[in-house]
Amino acid sequence: MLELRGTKIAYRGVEVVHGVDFRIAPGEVVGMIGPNGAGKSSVLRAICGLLRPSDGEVLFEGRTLNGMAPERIARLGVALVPEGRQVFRTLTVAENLRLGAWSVEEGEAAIGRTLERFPILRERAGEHADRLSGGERQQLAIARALLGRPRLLILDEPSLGLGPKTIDAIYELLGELREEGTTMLLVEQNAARTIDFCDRCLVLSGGTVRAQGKPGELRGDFDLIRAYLGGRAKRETSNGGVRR
Amino acid sequence: MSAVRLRSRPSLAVSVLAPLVLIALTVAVGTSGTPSLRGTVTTILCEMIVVLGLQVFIGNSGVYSFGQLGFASAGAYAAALLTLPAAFVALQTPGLPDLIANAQLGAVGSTAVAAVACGVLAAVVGLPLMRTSTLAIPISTFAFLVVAYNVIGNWDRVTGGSGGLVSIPRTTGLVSAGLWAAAAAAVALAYKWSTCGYRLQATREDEVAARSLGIGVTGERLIAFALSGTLCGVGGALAVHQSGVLAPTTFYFVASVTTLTMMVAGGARSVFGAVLGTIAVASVNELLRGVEGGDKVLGLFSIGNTPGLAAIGVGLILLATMVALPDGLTSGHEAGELPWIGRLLGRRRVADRAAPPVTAPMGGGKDGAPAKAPVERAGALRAHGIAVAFGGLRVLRGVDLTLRPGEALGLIGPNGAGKTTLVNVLSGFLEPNAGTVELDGVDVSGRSPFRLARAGLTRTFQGALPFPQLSCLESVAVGAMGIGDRRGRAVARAGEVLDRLGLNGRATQPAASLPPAEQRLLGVARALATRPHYLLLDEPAAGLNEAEGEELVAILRGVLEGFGCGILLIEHEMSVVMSLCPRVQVLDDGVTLRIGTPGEIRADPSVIEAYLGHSYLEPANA
Repeated sequence: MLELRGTKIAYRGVEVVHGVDFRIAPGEVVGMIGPNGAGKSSVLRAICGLLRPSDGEVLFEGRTLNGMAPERIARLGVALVPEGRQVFRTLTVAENLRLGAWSVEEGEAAIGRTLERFPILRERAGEHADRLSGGERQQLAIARALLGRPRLLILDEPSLGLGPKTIDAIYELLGELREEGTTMLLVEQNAARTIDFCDRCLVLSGGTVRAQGKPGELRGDFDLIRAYLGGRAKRETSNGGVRR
Repeated sequence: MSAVRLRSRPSLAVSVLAPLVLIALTVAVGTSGTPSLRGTVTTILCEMIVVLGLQVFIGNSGVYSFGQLGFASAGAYAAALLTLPAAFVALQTPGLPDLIANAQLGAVGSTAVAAVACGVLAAVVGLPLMRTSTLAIPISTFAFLVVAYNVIGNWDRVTGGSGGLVSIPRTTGLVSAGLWAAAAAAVALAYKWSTCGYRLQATREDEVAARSLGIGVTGERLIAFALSGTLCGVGGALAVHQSGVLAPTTFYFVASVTTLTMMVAGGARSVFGAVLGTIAVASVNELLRGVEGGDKVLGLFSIGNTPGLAAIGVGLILLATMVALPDGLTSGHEAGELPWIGRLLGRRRVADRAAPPVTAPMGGGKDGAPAKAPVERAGALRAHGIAVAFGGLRVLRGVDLTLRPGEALGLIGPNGAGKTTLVNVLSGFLEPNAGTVELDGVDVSGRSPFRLARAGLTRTFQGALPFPQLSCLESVAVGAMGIGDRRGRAVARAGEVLDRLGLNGRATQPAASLPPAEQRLLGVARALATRPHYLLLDEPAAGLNEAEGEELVAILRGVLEGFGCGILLIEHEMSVVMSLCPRVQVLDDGVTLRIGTPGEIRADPSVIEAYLGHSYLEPANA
């Protein structure tokens, strides 16, 4: 469904992603983990057309996305839930959702169905989005992306700033979407959780894919992954795996 | 600490010399030409001073003012009336007070008096105007321009009215205009890189973050507005002594648009841009004025008399700039920061050089004395019965909180519990419907954020709110400037903080170029530079992986021990909260659910139910 071939990304002449290759098959849930500054967000931005790869190709269902405008890529069915709760703050929750559903025929019904999954949003449908808490905004961003019925759902740190219980709820929801066959590309900092959740994981570090594999395979190499993730520090976890 | 510099020496030298060299070249072109060219170039140099005046306010504040030409007009009238020969006073301005009429000042004297008068006028006018919002200032300054125009145009007995003044002594020469312009450029650069200048630039980059660092937006804007008025007054005074005639329309719409175009074309944030933009736009303008009068285009053909061509040209330049080069010819950089000038000089890009690592120990409390042991401080940050409602939604329903110096208090709770709202109240960004906030025994309820920051209470934000155009070192130094540090000390402090947080390799990079997690860390660094007694951190570990989270804990522990400040930590990453905070307060649905040690909190059934969720416990048992 999605394929990156030798994709390189540079900012003002400085290459930050040095040739990344991977494919995502329909219905597959792929995780991307790696330390801060590894180039994860840059890869996502390149897929969504927010920046143009300096070399290589990004293909979606056989079509090249290179140089295509972000809105056209979105219309092909690639939905990005950006990091940092980017919602339309001056609009109400309901209006935000309506904008997400603009291309869907049965907009109102779809909004209703989506709101069933997010009870807190249903409760606050008439509120302005800037009155929502950080976690509620994150839920709104995800709900809005789902309304476009994406063929490929890309989530950039969906659990950022969320409490443990809310994260559980979000992952429950993502699990349901997986059951429905939604293809997903998921970027997370919480490596253990991502590895467990996804069908397959890519470990990105220093602008290249260092390792990839299925949960079982990666679990065995967990120390190795931690070494990549740790960057500067490689201390043992002190919380005894309380959070996973 | 001399190792820490905001910019390298070559970069600084190029930035200072480039505008001066351009001005010198302009003067040289004028000297070698015909008398008419000399006059034109002199006028351009006077315009340049006005444009530099615009740059001081607009470039550094990021807020457009359409009223600065009113000050140029005031300066021009002041200088003209102070020098008008007695015979012409009786003819043109019979109502002029004797004091002014008899002054008969020289060129320098009249310009200096005009400058001071305009500075005072701008301060007085700015006092109410700068209190209006960022969006209202362009409109209100425009209103000032209209008022100034009408006062001058109708005060016939003093200003000569709409007919204007003639026979004003023409004392401004090419070289003296060049010297004044060079001085104005130096003043604009000195201001930009002064403590005040950096504080104002911080408000341009992010007003909310700037206020959290102790920067009073109104006050900083007022300083720049007055300085801008002074420079515009000088420009006006010199211009009138160049042309010898003056009318209310001399410095009105057309001049406003022209000078704004010059500033924008060059790049509003840059002093070099103001100089370059003035020369570029004025050259095109002069060329078109010639063509409009029937001159041949490039000596080839004439298109006959085409009135309005020059004005259309200026409008088109403004349009083209906005579309193609929104940051102007210089992209808003000073000359030393321009990559192509760096290449021209055969150097690596100066901005790419990392600052040398700073290994000196961290400075301590407000007095700057190195503090090895935790500072023992009495008092605490106390909140009593805080209640906040947004419309019908009651976000906080009577919350108490106590934070002592040297203590780390964790604040956790489900999304929407009201944690950030509570921090907004504590830091002065939100006025509660009920309840009081007390800082070291003083009731500070309703105080503005920047006053609280100066009193030792600083916060960070969920979003990093970086100052995108400032370098990391500048961003952090601004934090220290916000509470009143001089520049040198602020920069030294910034170097220490960056070093402590492991960001010293990023010192000269623009804040916008950092990955999100490091931008958040930069926010913490910025807040630490204000030497807080109480530091409120809103999700500093968001977006960090486990190892990075552990590093942050180590850093914050160092902050607790080295600074002795109290830390209120909002964080969802429980491992961070549990390992740093001996005391944790749980908020749920606007009320305090529980206060206790991490162990008590983790075992509390109500906390598990409301926040942690039952799945949280399973892996620990497994």
